[in-house]
Amino acid sequence: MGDREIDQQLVERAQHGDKHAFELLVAKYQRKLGRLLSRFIRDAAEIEDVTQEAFIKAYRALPSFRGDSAFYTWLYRIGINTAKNYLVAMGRRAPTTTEFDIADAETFENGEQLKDVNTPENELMSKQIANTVNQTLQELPDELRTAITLREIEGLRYEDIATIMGCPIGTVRSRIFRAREAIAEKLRPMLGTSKDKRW
Amino acid sequence: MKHDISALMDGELEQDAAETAIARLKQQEELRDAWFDYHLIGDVMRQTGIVSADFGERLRGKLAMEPVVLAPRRPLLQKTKIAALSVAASLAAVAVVAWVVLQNNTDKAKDNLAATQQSNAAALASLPRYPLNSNVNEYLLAHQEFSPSTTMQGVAPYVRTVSDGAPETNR
Repeated sequence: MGDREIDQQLVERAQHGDKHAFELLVAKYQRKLGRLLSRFIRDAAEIEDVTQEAFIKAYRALPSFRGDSAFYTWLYRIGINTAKNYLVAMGRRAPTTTEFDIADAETFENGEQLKDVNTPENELMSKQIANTVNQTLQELPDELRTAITLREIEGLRYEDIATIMGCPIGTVRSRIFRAREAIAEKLRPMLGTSKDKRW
Repeated sequence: MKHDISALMDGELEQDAAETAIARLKQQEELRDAWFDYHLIGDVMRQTGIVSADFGERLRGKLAMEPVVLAPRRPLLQKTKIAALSVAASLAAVAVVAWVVLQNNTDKAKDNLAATQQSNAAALASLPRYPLNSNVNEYLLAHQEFSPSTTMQGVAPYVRTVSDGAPETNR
């Protein structure tokens, strides 16, 4: 099942009252949407407020989502409109469609360098998370580090990774999982449980 | 099961396994945490950015204030209904065509049978009457080798040459 089909499954569950399903979509897209909105809102706290508002609007509009487009395209469109309305309400100039449109949003993922969206209070936490991920990644055995890097950075499918690494697809799947678990194990003391700090 | 969550978020699970994994995500908090952690790791590796630690808590609080979304199962029902109607329409069309064809064939067969019987009767009636002389039969049998049909194999020549052509009614 592809990425779009997984999103569609989660959307359908959310459309029928499963709030956890929508939370999973939030967990998946919150940082990407925040990064997208940072292109036309400077202040980190404002970016987070607008991102939250966009998710609430998306949740309210879920009954009208029919799956004609990918969920993230639909979400990004809501995010951009929310940001434009926010800027207008604040008396600031909103970007025009030609300056920034949904096509940009779809290719944005591999675009600009990260803009720091952390508030000063959370900067330490963000740095700790980034350092933990990077440090654990460096400490992983070569085969685990290569597998997760090819997947997360290069975006390769398991089949392609298996070809590159000269191993079965099942081994790739296992290596990526073990790499993620090794890093997550180090992150968990910082993140707590889903009842408090998660997603 | 976390193994499957890892493959699920990479889009590498088969349909059935993916649906099972998604269903379990709803039931098990530990799996939802894994979903969150794995996405966070990927975003950090891609330098997508990190939202503040209380982002989720704040958003969850807002979502809790929202009424539960309950959308009608429109797309799935529509697709199913359209497919069912298409099948029903196809079957009905096939049934109608088959019925018309069968009806026509039955009527034609009856007409053909009646016409054949009539033409046979007419043909028999029109045959010339020959005297039933046993000598003729003997003569025909004796000279059947001169019949043009003797080049054919089998008993067909006898059928042809021995027929006396007398009307049935006279037998």
